Amino acid sequence: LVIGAPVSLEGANVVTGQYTQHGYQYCATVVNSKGGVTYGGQSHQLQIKTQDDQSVATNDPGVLDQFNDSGIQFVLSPYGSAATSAAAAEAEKNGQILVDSNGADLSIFSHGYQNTFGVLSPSSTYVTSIVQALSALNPAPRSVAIIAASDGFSQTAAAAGQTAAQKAGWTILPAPDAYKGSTKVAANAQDVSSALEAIGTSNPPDVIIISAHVVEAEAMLKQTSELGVKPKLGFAATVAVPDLGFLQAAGKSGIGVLGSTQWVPQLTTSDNLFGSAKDFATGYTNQFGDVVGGVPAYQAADATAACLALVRAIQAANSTSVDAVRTALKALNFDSFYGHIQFDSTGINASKPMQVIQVQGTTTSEQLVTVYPSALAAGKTAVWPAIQP
Amino acid sequence: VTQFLQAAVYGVVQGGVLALVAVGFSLVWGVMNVINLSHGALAVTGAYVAWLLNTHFGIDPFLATPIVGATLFALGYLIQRGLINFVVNAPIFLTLLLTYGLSLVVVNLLQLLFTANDRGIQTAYASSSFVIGSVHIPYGRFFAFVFAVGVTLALVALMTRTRLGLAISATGMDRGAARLMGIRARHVYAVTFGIAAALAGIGGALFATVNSFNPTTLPSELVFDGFVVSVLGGLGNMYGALLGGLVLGLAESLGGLYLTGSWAQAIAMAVLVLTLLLRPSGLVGRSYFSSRVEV
Repeated sequence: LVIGAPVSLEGANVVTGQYTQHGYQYCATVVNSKGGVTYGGQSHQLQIKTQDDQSVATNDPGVLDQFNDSGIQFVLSPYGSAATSAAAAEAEKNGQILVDSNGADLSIFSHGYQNTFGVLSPSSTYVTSIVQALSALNPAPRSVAIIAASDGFSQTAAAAGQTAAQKAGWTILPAPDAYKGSTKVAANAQDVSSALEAIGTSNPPDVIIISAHVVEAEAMLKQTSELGVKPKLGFAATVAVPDLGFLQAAGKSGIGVLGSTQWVPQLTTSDNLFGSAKDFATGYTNQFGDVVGGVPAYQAADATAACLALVRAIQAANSTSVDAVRTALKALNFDSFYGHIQFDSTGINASKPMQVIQVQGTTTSEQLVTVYPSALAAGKTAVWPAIQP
Repeated sequence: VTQFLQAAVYGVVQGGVLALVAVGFSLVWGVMNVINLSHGALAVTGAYVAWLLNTHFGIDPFLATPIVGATLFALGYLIQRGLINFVVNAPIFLTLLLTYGLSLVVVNLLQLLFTANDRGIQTAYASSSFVIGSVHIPYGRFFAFVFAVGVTLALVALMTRTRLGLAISATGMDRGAARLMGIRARHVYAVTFGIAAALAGIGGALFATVNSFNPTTLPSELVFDGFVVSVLGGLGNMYGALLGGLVLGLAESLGGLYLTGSWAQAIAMAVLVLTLLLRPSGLVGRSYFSSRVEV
């Protein structure tokens, strides 16, 4: 059984692309060590055929076409929303099944595609989960400024987060909807000073949340200090926090920053292939060793989970017929090392919550601590306020 | 008003960092007529040298600039003598291709050595700022700005008051005539490329004190900035890159004040287009140098 996977092995997404590739490879290793994929009364060894998309989203349709020409009907997604969005459109056109591991933008699932299924929590949960975690802290924030990058993923995450913050009764500074105006910054910008100048120093918010990727979050930390823009309680930075580059580049200035993640090793669910979340962490780390804050990057867990969902569906369909596997994917409803996997009518794994982590030190063992939900925090609590007056 | 002043001051000091990276790019283009697409990769190499010195020996990145400059000068000299010199007479597209290939090699080597993860050089002062009125001026960018002005003045002195500088200028104007005067053009080109690489490296080192850096995306961004700053400032005048950097920094910063997201960058491009419409040779450039470009 050959499953295709465009991955980013060079260019801007090379780090996360490699995590994705390793997650797929780990899936194949474990599945094959446990007898392979069973359908049609026989067991089949799983092979993941990867191809570099060079971190260029417009390359992904071509990669899917090449897979299609080779007779590969099942594809695991590349890293990132833009690349996955391009791949999903092509999969729909070609009649291929695409299981999305690392594209969270809600827009991917807004086209009525029948062939795309995403195991990860959608973009709308990234800032929202942080708002929920902050609401549970003492003191809870009463005001927030949300900076957002201009890409679709970051904007969607910010929009949902603002709604959640308003529901919690927080004041949005410098103005409601600023995330798509004065506090909107260019995606991957090294300079976010204009957003910080808009927030200003005279009426600082309790919390600044940046809905963006790593570069913008690193710039925010540096430039808030440079410009004297200091929130009263702390910072949060969605996907940047569980990223080795952010932890290395930010150093001590990153301590206290909260972030959202798709997976933590404290999850309590398990499955018969990968075992528990902790088993996955141990097995993956033994095979690849590339860890962030002492645990596998969540992108790797996303990738393995996407592969697991596809394998489960093929086994449930007992065939490699695209129609049968699509039907089986729609019917999936199971617990795994990654949490619960069940797709809604648009293909989103809507019931899966995100977790919130905090940087609490600079050494590997204490770098990333799960602080929300409290049931997964294993007795550890957020250092809060993260900024001392 | 405060917001405008803050953005303007921040843009100026930010422009200093851009100028520092761009001045070497402009020098090689002006003297050798080579658009060096590996300039960004050399700048990022300088950032890694400074990072290594800071991480392993605790050397402050500003104090490390002589070591970074010397290392990159040697590297640049060797690259010119061993590689670029073979195509220096070739059509511009060949030099573009060669320097692009060189950039890929350097970028991939850096990625192999250091991974593609972002890095940053932490100092106690770079992210702090002093306040004048209500305007914050960050120390790191301010020092980089002062450094850029100093480097530009030193470069002007080198080019106008030393035999080496005059040889570089003469070779840039007319290589044949320079040779007839006894100037070893091959050596002069290598020294010029070495100086440019050193300036790139120093620029990269100072960039790393105020920003994060990585080998995957930053080299091409710095080449783009270097290109824009050189065109904006104009070739053939050592003050061109400094002025171009300051104008670009200012345009981007003030653009961010009035436009959002990536539209802010459009302001900078609009300034470039407008400048070229009014002054095709750049702000302080000389038409002779830009007219040699065979595009």
